[in-house]
Amino acid sequence: MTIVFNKQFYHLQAIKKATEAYKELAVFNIKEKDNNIEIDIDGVDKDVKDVIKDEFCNYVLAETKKFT
Amino acid sequence: MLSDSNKIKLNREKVGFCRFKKLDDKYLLTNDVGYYYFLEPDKFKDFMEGKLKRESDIYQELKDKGFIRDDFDIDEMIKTCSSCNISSIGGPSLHIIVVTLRCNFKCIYCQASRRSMEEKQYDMDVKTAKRVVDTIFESPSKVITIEFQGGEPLVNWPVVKFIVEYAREKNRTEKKKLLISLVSNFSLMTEEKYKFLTEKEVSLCTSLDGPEELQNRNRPLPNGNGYRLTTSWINKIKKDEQDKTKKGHACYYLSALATISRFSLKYPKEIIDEYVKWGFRGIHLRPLSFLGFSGGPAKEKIGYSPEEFMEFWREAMDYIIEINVRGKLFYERGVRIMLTKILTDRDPGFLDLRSPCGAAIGQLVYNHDGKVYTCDEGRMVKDDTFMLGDVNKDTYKKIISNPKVKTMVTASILDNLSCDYCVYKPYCGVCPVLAYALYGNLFPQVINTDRCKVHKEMFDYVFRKLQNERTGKTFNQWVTLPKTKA
Amino acid sequence: MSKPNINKSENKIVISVDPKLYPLESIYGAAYVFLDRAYVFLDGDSKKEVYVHLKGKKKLTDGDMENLADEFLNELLNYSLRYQISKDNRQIREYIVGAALIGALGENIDKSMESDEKDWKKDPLGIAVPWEEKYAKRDGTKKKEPPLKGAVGQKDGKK
Repeated sequence: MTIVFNKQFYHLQAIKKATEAYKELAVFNIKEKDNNIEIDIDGVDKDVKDVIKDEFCNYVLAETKKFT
Repeated sequence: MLSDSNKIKLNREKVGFCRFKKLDDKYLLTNDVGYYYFLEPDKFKDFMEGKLKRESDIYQELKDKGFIRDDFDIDEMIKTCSSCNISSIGGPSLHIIVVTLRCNFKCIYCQASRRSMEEKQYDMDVKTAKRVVDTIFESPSKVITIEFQGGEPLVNWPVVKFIVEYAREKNRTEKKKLLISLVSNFSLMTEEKYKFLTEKEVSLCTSLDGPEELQNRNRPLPNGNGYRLTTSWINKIKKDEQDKTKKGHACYYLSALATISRFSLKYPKEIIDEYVKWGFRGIHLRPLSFLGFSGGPAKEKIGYSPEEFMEFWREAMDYIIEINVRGKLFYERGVRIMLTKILTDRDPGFLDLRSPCGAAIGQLVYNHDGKVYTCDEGRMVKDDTFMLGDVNKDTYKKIISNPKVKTMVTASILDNLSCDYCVYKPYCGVCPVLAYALYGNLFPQVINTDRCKVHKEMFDYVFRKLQNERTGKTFNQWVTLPKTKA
Repeated sequence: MSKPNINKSENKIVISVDPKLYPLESIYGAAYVFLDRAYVFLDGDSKKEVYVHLKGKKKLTDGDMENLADEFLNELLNYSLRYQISKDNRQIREYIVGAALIGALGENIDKSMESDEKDWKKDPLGIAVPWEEKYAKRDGTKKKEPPLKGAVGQKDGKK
């Protein structure tokens, strides 16, 4: 699965912190593309597959707020 | 329904710094100094738009409390702010000494990860104890409190005795205000030890979780009745207190702490009745920290959600207020600490509920092996993340200069966190150790933490009750209670 | 702000916010408050139109969705107000807290805060001017001795 974060609202450092926090649950691949940061998520732990995308986005938002 | 702030045109010259939230049908305002004020929605709008009449009572009170930007006494605000935060400066004053990790009880939630009575390697030796006391007296704080913890400190009685004597002796030249306290289950107390502790003015604190069945379930003593042993000493010490009070002699009051496990949730009234029965002036209803054993596999069996805890807590608080209304003064210590911050310009010096937290700058913890930790919670984390040094190798200066001290301060200054917008910020605090232990992050997403949920609801409760004339009077009595000898 | 877009199948609402009326800091602040009960995602154009996606953590009814939208807008309004108040008073807050801590350490406030003092003098509202000087000249009122924190109060919650 892929999440596209808009750079105007999300901070790259925040995304990196979130991937660090979630590294036990999935494999994250970060790509910067123009105004976006794309995250590919693979190898998701089966216990969290339904919620990982949304939970990850919340985590990134909370981390991003620390930079504002 | 959209909020009243939809139509507000903020008067930027008139509105002084405040945080606010709508609590039921009124707006609650607070500021950095810790003043609060309730406003009806229409008056809130007038205030925000700078339209309050200068001669009105509301304007005058808001002015006195520093809410009017172009009309307040800045020197007075500085003075009050200073006295409210006095414990944040001056160096660590609380020094917790873990004289042993051994304990004869097997409490289901033990946060200190106790050791069995056979494991004597977890006792502090006299050489380390001497270094601990020497290090403590290097703190610049004029007030020093030494608190014995464990394990069960009475298991290592020779070292307790040595520290008390050595600290009292050392203080003859150091001339600090020296307070010593001992937290014990009393099961190993003897007349001789009690006499020594009384003579050396050591204040005593114990753990009492409730009536016999509950106490023995939460705090089992293998092959014995822990409740009976603990309460027989509570009974004796309380009788001595009464005798001394009658004779007009000053004395320390025995205090006790109640830890709330899942098994306690059904018994809010019974727990309080137990405290009243033994003659305590109050109770501290403490939720589990989820550190040590309470954070391990036992968590599912003994733990609870913040909502379950708060249901218990509200019922207990309602009952405590009822007791006060019936004419008996009896307080909840956590609420009393909050009220001291809300209603007075005194700093209760409670290290868990302030910004920055008390870790390292307000307290230090000396483990049995001489290792020094930022705080009581810090030593409960299994690794040495919060270790600052070792009294057998390092000076006080080296210990306190550890970069971790600065990190802890930064991590617990609420201005750096989303808490800066919370109306309860002047009265609250975060615990970076808990955040690290529970969420793996010193800087947690505060709003998602159980601690934040519990504190917010407690403050909501307190501020709701403060608006009630009768309860407000009771709460004022709690913060004006005469102090004990300490 | 236009009417929120409700997407029942995804258990989600999308709110459009004008960033000229509500600074991005307020949008972040309001969004943060909802993190414990909704999944929040931001998108759009930070200069023209911000889309706030709120997806319920639990299944939301139609009423819940409308309430969620209203609550978010309320929080956004309140946060904007708080943000502006905080911004307007930042300098004075820092001065009070800084002076309080320095005072408690027994340092000379005037000396320690010298640079801040200079900044004060730039303050068009004259907040740094002592109360007596400021008002005694204007209306002749003598400075009232300010009461202790605990002594000031209102009927419903006396300090």
